[in-house]
Amino acid sequence: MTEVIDMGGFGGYIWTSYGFALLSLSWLTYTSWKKAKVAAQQLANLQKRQPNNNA
Amino acid sequence: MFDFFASPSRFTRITNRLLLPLVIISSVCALIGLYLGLFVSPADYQQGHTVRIIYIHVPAAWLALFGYVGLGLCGLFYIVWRHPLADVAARAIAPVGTVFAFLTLVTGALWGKPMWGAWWVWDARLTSMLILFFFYLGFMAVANGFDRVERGSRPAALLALVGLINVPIVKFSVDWWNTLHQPASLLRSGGPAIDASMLTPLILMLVSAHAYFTIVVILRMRALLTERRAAKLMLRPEKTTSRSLTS
Repeated sequence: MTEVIDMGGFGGYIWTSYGFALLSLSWLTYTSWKKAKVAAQQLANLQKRQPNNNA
Repeated sequence: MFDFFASPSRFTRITNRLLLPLVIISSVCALIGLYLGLFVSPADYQQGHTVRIIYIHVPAAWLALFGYVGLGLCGLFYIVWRHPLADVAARAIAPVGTVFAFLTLVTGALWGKPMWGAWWVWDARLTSMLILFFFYLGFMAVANGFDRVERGSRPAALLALVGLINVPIVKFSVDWWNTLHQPASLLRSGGPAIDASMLTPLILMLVSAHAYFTIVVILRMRALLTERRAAKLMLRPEKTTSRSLTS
């Protein structure tokens, strides 16, 4: 286990790379999903208020 | 063919069928690729364990480049054919490409420090990648810098097209100039110069990253299309009012 974390003395660089990738891709996924959800909710609210404009 | 994809409802229908297979492909390939890359593949005889950074650095760099090619093509389709989905696709690709370009620069720096002794050097490959990152930022600034969304579409599309010049510079910079960055190891004449034990996880991570990129771009495109539909709905009552006022 220590060997895996240490990675021949380069563990800091390697795990920081993977951690940064995980964080940035998680943030990208979350914001994209959130953007789609908020837009869908906004459209649904508008369609509820204006039932004749659904087309 | 372009008209076929122009309909937002058809686009949503098609992408509904694509999303789940893409999620499965991306997740499975990432899990196997990470396992092989981190725990099974050997350390490089020169780079040691730092070689494991390439399993995220190379896919990120490829997608930053391919993403920009997509952005440029969307710009072309928008300027020439005024394709409605091209602007939406470009706006969806830009933030995703930016993240991948940034990831490339950060992971490159984290690899460069132990290997070259420096976080950054003004090498042709690194500098052209930094310029690519700035082109992405510039596209987003121009596309979103107007009071009405559609006003930014044309100048942003033009900027995306201009930025395409930088793509071959990034790709061939290691061949055209003497660079500290190593030459291409995968896409080169004579085949890949990497051992199969490292090539397998790298290809799996590349497949996973491509599928992930497509998923996020689809999600963002759908969000943008929905936002535009909502904006149209919001404008309708105003139009009716102004007509009734003038008549």
